[in-house]
Amino acid sequence: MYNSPFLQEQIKAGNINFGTQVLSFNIGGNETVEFDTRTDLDFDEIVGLYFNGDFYLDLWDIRAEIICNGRIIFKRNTVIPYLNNNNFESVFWVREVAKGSTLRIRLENLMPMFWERDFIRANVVLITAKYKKPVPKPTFEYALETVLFEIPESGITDAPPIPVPNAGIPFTKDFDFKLEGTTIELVNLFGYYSMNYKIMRRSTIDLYIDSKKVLNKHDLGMFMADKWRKPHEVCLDLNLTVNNPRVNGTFYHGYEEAELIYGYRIWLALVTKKKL
Amino acid sequence: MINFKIIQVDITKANQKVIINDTTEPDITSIKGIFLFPNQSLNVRNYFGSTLRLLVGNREVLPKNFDCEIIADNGFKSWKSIKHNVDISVDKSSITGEYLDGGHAIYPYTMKIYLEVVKK
Repeated sequence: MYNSPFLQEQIKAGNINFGTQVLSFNIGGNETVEFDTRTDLDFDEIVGLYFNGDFYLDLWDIRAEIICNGRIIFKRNTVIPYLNNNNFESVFWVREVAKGSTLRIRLENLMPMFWERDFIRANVVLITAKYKKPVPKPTFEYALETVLFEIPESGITDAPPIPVPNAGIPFTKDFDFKLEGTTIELVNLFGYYSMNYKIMRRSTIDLYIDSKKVLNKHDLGMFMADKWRKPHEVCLDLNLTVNNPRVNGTFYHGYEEAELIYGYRIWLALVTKKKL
Repeated sequence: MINFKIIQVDITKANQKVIINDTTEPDITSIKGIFLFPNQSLNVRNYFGSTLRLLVGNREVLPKNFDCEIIADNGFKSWKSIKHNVDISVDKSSITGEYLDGGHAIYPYTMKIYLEVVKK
């Protein structure tokens, strides 16, 4: 997904010209923006997308849904971890035929504004491709399923930094999710976090997928992607085929120093692959 | 599937030496890689001077005085880029060695030795 073999082949064969279509939004605190448009006419496919903005966008909890030709190409409630990077490194690769196609983009900011910002400017950048020779239709579809922890449990409702209850005392948090999708292959696992890497450094996780223990007190920081480390560099290989899998486990917060730490969020991201 | 064997080394004071004495579980058939994951650091060189010697069975995988910094996560590199690749067949094999702290860390801390393994 984040390292598309198909595109590598096309680049090697000299069969592809890349371009971009940028869609910009101003989004305020606790606001939802929905926008209908059409893709440009001068390319064949959307082959990837990423997000960037004019501020530290990872401080907010912004989620996106992108529908092209009536098909969801970026799933609602999938977080926009790529906002962290503000660059081209973490592209979400898709393949969708698009030439003047309908495009619906929905952005939700689940947090209030702070630091005297009235809004933030977010861009959805579509990476486009025009092929010199026709290409075969895609046979697989990749998607990203995410599981989100919000700590403290009450959620982040004020400007950071906010003290975490019981700061200085390690605590645990159980999580239990059901993901939708039949006969899907769970390809990789990686994570994203907001704020403070020190928390990741000392935190561990137990993870079960359909009651199978996948991680046992595993260091969280090891497979967290961030501005230094791309998802494909830190991801863990799963290669499990599942139906509507249950994803559960326990998060062990290990940060012991009694100082103010930011409220924070952790996403576990599962890369899934499905036959078309 | 994700398969690691983790050996935890707890350091409480500067220049402490910790003896490693472990065994691979019966379902582990080989070791493919080694890297270290400390629970502190970032941009300071907390592990400067810390060394690890490691033997699997009688085979020396990391020699005496091997600098931990070379294969330790520092918060900026991925585990895949620091991993030392090996290919060692094991069958309930002993894992022995010693970790020697270099005296530059904040104490106490934990150093985890991650062994990437293949299981039956």
